[in-house]
Amino acid sequence: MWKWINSFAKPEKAYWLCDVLQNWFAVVAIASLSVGLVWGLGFAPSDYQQGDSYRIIYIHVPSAILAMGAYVAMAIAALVGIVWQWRTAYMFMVAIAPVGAVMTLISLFTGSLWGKPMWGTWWFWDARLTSQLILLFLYLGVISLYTAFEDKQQAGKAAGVMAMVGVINIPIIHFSVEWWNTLHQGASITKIGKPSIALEMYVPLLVCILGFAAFIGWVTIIRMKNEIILRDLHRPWVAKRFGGAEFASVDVGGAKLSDAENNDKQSLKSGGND
Amino acid sequence: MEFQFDSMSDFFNMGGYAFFVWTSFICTFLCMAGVLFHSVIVSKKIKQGVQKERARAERIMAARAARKLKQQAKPKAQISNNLEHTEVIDEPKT
Repeated sequence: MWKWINSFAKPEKAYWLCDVLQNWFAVVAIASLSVGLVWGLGFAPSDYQQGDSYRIIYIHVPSAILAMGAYVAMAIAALVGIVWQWRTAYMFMVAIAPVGAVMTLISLFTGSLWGKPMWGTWWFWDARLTSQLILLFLYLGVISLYTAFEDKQQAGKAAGVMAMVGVINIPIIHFSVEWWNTLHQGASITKIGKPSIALEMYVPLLVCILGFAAFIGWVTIIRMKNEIILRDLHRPWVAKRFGGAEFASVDVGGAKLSDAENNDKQSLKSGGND
Repeated sequence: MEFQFDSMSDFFNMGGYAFFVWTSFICTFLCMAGVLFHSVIVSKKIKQGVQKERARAERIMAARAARKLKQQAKPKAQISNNLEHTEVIDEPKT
């Protein structure tokens, strides 16, 4: 079992797995996002206090929850990369970071657009909002730290340490509404016990969360594939897979040609693996 | 489950919160589409790059092989001259 999991540390096999999963994530993302958003916008009952402005919840809550979820996933990948020295774990880390950053950004500005009509202010330096902003900066920090290093193994380590240290922010975001008096309302969804919102609003919200999660997975897989090819650009399997049709042996003729060609191939391939 | 609004214009009005609701939905859509298409475009570019690189490598290999064959065909006296010459050409142009 352990050995089987470890085999996916190989970039070639990880790429294969990404290929298999990509379309499934795409289908789930598109289907549940369209169902969930139409349901939430048109068919969920409107709130007795907030009227129709509450419909922002169908993008605000999924993006906020999954921004944190993506961060945890990124930090776990960083841990795996540092402990077991998986190159692919760093690739995953750097693939999910921009997606998570976009999710955090979405949660911040939808929150702002929701806060204006409900609280009367676009922004407030309250615990929940500030800690979410810090999450955005942590994402940006991980991305820029990774791009700052020329040697990507080093870059992965440095960004990974930052990702792991930043995990402390996740419980702070989660409990901020309980620990401090904030403008922000408490959690709508709890794992144990009844949700604090009506079932007719709750079900489309869950569908939206599923859709956002699948979307994050989908984009992360695309980015992960990009990262794998970029890092393995000079490895034989990449050339074999994406190099296009095998060039027919050039018609200079002669038995010596294939020999010389092979030698040259070797010398070309051995150059520069990072 | 039924449609909560009386008409389409009612739906777009969002109970008076049209600006806030629709701005957030449109911006969210743009952000998500942006990150998705960026990833897809980068992926296409990388794959094109790999193909180009491969074609270039093949051309270099073919040229080298052709030169080697030519050298073998020539009399021995000229080889030393030719070798110096080939080394210069042999550098792959980037």
